[in-house]
Amino acid sequence: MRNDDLTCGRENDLIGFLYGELNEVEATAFQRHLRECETCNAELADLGEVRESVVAWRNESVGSVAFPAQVTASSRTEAPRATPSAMTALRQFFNLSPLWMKGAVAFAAILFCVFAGLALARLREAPPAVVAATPGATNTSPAELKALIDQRVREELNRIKKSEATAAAPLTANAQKTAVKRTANRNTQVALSAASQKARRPLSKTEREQLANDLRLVSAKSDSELDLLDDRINQ
Amino acid sequence: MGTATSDEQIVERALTGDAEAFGEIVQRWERRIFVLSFGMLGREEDARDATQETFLAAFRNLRAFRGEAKVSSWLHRIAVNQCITRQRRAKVRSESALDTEEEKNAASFAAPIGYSPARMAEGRETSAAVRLAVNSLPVELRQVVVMKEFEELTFKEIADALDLPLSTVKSRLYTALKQLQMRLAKFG
Repeated sequence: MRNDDLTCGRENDLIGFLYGELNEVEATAFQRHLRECETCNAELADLGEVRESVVAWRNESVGSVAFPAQVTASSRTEAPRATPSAMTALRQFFNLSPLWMKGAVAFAAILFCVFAGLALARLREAPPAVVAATPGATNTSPAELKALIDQRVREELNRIKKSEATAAAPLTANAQKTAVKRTANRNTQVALSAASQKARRPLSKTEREQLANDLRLVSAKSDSELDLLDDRINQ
Repeated sequence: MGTATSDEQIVERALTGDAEAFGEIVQRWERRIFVLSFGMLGREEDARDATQETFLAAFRNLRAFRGEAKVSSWLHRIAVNQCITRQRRAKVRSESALDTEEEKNAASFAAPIGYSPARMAEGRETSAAVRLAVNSLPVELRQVVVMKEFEELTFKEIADALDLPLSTVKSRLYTALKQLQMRLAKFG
């Protein structure tokens, strides 16, 4: 199978020399062999060209690839890097993801946003609590909340009072009329009572004379001579 | 003088529940695994997918890592397996679409999808020829070339990663370069 092997059988040394991986003794020995072996000389030159072509292709292809971590193979002996965060590692790991996976993640993110939006909208539409019904009450402090509740209570009480007053207005008018009537009746009664009191009180002589004159019953000068029954009763 | 935390120590932290530890492993190795995948597959998109799958597989099998091999070797092995799997799938998909005998020969070791000699003739001929030549190498040869030229690993590191004797790595690399020489001469 190995018909392309060197006749001198030093393929491994040639490869080691080509890649600079022979130690000093081995390298010196192979250089001595190269002076004598034309086949190895030609082979070394040919394989060197092949190698250059491969390296050129590598530099052209891999060098043009955008890659997050700028770590080259030749920098393996560099100082240890700072420990990356989980997010950084994930981000870089994601950069390596195939397109379908990126698409799936993007789709999942969009779905998440849509559902979150719907959930928020639903929360806003839900029947709010008593306090939440007050405009701007969502961020009130306990003191402001108490003041708002007091104000609401006062407003509600005023409203109830007004409605009661409105309902009681005709009643009051009737009551006033009734009161006026009652007052009038009471005045009448008082007047009658006063009159009856007056009537029951015995008239004085002057009053009697005045009354007699008004009624033109008797002459004034004979009034004292009259034997009035009332006088006797009263006396 | 700071002491660098070894990959093995970071993996131990990850195994004990440190959520950020595996991120550090990704941070350290993603570039090299990507380069390896790119060399193996020849397409950026495929290489990104393979890199992603490599770290996912590594994360899933983290508990199976016993520390007998180096983390780098373990990751390389996973990456190479991922690339081989992808190439097998690509080969099945692309074989039916290939018409010419030349294309079939070029694709006999899973040529990159969507590639053709006609495209190769347009500009960047050398790079395109090398790319096609590398991608037409058998997997066991290609991975050695890629690990050496793209990742600049030493023979010892490649031997560790692939669990091969050092001499086998050297002879495989020699054979790979010889085959590339012949293929490039044919393209040229």
